[in-house]
Amino acid sequence: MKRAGCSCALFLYLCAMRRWVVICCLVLGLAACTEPWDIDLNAGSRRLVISGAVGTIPDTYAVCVTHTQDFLSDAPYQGVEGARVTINGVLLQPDTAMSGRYLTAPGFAAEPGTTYLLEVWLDDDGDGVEECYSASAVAPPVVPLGSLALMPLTTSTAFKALPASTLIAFPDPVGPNFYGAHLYVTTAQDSSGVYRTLRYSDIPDKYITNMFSSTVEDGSMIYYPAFMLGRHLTLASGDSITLFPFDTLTVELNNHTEAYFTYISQLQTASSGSNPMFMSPSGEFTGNISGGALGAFGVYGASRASVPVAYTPDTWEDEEMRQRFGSGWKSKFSPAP
Amino acid sequence: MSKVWRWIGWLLVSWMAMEAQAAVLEGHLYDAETQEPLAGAYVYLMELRSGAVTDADGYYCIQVAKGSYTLQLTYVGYDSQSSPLVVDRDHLPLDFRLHASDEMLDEVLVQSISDRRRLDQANIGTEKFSMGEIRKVPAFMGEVDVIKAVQLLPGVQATSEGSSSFSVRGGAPDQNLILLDGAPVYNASHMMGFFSVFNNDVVEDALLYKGDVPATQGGRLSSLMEVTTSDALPDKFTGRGGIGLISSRLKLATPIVKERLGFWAAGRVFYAGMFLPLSRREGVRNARMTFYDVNAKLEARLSDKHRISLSGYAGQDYFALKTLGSFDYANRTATLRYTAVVNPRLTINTALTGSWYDYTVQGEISSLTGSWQADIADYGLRHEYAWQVDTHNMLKMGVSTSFKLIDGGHAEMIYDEQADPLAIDIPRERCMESALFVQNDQHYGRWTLQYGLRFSWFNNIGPQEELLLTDGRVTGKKSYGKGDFYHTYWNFEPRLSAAWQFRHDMSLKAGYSRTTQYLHLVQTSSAGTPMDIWRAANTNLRPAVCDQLSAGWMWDFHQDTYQLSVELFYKWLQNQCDFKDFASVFLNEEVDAEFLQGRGRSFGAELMLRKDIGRLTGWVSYTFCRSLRTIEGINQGREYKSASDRPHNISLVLNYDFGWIDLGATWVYATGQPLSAPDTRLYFADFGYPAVIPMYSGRNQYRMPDYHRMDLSVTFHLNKGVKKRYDHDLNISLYNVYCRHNAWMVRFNSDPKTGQQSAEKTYLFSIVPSVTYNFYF
Repeated sequence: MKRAGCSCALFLYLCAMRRWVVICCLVLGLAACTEPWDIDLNAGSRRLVISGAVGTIPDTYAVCVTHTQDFLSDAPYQGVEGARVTINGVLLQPDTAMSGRYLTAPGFAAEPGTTYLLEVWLDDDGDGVEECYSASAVAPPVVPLGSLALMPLTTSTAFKALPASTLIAFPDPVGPNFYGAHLYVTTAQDSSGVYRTLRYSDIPDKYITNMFSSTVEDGSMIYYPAFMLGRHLTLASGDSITLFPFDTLTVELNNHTEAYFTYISQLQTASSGSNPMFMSPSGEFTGNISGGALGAFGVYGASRASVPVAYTPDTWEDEEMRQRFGSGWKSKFSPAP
Repeated sequence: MSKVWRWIGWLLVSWMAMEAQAAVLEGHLYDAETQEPLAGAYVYLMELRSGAVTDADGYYCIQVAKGSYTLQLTYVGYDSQSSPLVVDRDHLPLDFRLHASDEMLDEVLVQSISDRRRLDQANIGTEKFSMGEIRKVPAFMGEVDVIKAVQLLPGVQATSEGSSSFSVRGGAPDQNLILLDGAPVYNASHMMGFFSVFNNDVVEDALLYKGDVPATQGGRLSSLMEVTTSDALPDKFTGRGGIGLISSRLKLATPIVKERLGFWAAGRVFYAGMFLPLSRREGVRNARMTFYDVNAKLEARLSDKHRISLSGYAGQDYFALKTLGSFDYANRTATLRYTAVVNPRLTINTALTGSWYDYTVQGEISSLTGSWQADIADYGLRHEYAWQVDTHNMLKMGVSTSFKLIDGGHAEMIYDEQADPLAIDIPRERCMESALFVQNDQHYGRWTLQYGLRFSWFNNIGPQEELLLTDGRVTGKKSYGKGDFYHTYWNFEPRLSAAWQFRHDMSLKAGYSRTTQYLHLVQTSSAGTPMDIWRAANTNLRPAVCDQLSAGWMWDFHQDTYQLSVELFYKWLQNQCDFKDFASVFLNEEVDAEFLQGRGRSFGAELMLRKDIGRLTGWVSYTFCRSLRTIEGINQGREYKSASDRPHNISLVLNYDFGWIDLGATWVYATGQPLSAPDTRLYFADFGYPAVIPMYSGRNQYRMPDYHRMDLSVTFHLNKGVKKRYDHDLNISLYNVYCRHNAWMVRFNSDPKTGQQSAEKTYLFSIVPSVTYNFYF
């Protein structure tokens, strides 16, 4: 059988199928309910966690240094400050907006084929001696995105622009490849016409869910429904935006190094599923940071493609279109073919 | 010298004289009204203090010296018969018919084999249910279910709330061999395990061996459950059925040629899905679900010595979610059996079986339409001889073989613009599992022995591409051609059990068995899902082996009204499978690399006090059972609790027969299921917004809340105890009477606003009432 499609798309699709088997189970328990449960967990040991990845598109990238906490702890997020973090000897600067994050210079871009060495110097054990926690990764090649289309989710909603998925297509190079995808939304929310570009996949779950590998369909043309979107999107900041016609969706395909991809996939396994049913066994995360720290450092090749959101009559309410485009909005649109 | 020859001559003559005086008493026992053979009835000769037990066809055979005796026939729930018997011929064929007792219109709550039989029975941990008993156990949604009744026995534990999957003496759910008329059932559940595939209207009896499996059977480590369908040649057209809130059923039986050819068919349909559109939850409103199943049997008695039967089962479950797709799975079995009574001492049974299980998931997302299928097919042949050597020895020997085709998964997807679909295929496995067995059941005075040897072997058959693994990582593949027997495992499986009835009311028992399992069930949930797949032993996956030692003591007291039993067991397990951390088992062509194998042990004690006679019947049981695993690479190589480790289990089952009302009550308690829970958390903040990720340091180091619930039922016999052509009753039952919120699963959540972590349990049922109207004609 000719393999001219996407195993990863198949995988995502089948994972969705598997999830709704869970729904079936809950449906069967027509009176199924949830309630809080007090569980007495052991105190965990405090571990250092270092993670981060840099890409080939010029941008500011981050490496995060934190400690683990007891699972039921009330403590808020607190990063590790005072670490000396370098990539190939270049010092990263602490993020003033968020402790424990160390930023590259703006416009940093990795070169495919180049080795990047992360070093984090820190006296974590308080013995007065700084230990070095390090990892290295070779930047993978950029895998160019062939195309991006906005596809209706089901045939029953095919007459609407949204909900839809951003279907990407690209040729997978021979050899194992490990992919992730970011989604950028360029939008203006009202008729003042100020466009902003926001990254939707800053919510880790949005990014992690869309990670896939091509170990099975190596070297094939890949079609992948990267993000499934409705009209309203909730960002990592908690703000909500509405997608409108003329907004642009940009998908960035990331070709990761294996260690970082594996680490993120394990985070996904640990954070999903319901115990003890429907959950793959989880354990201590594996990574490539030396010195006994958890976490991983990676490099990824990145490419982007964009698609505008088209107008269809039944997708948006009259009032929201009026707010976005003004009272004469109808004259600006003819329905998409 | 002449004196010696005289003695020898005397002995020879005496022996010949004795042989000449020996006679064979044989025949069948039947229910006087339904003509159903009574299996497990006792044919006892008072003067000899010995007798025989009828087999599955109601057949018995006793070798006795000619003379006069008092013959006693007993079968619990039936009027005993005692009559003088003169044996004056070499061969005395005698059939008997027993009447159901007027005091108990149905069988007692837990019949088991008659108490006297249990005392001298060599097998430890054997339980038998008949149809009537199962009906009296309060049932979930009013659906009487043999598996749910079995789960109330000591040493048997449901894997989760409402599940048809069960664990026996700490074993995993896939370690139970479930046979329907001799055909294996690979997924004995409907509706994700809430109901079993066994329609109680067609079940004659169910026999459970909790590890002390006879040498005549094998293939699983923990237990053997033999479910036998009604084996009757009805003398008139009869029917039975029920109408309930969520399902209905009907069984019809008819003679085709009187006493020679008969047929019955039964069906069930589940329609609770029609209530889904009434739900407030949109996800539930858009769902569809149903199941049906059909059983049928054609039986021909060619002569008194030859019988042939063809039985089958087909069932299917269907779920659909409007916006996503559909999911269905199906079970089918078929058994063709031929029984020949060659002579009063020798019976030959030959059976051809077929068993099929498959599931399909299909749906659509964004112009991508796809499907995913997997299946298993099992074709078996069994040929067995049962030879009553003499009054003390019953020898069974035979051969069995089965060919299995396991398709671990075929996924296919088509994108609108593609000409050809994309496919992922888990390589199909072909294998053959065979065995030679010999077993002797021996009875001498107060001793009963059962010993045997099973020699089993397993072949992997090409074409196949096997993984080469080094330290758990795939380093290559090796190809085998079509028809190549490229790998063989074999094992000797000795079985030995003994019972010593040192007092008329007490017995001691002991047993040893070795069992081997060549198939592993790939599942990531303790309760199992219909999408779990079977995986055959191969170069990388060694067969699992279990050595079990058991001992027991039984005491019948208060004029055999009560029976107290204590059983102890210890199991040593080899090559137990479990998944690595972060195993990828979903459509993984290299799934063998996700397994790790190691050793395990289970041990425990079972106490049971039962009362089978009188208006109040039932039992109370307590089981202590630990089930532990040690597998390098899991839990840092330290011993950990298996998913079946639930140390304490209590069952209380009571039934009171008022005549035209039966009251039933059950109460069950079990230690909570093992649970992997996160000790720590880390923050993932690579994109600028911290997300909490739970981190698990060990496997199954915690437990879910303990499980307990009470069920009640009342059955009104609407004919007020009077037998009529049309009989009917109304059953009202309450499941989980005091609304215990038993956890079904646990999630660990993070509050997006505060970042606070919490645990949340999902429970399935509060109190669930049901009403079922049953009829019989």
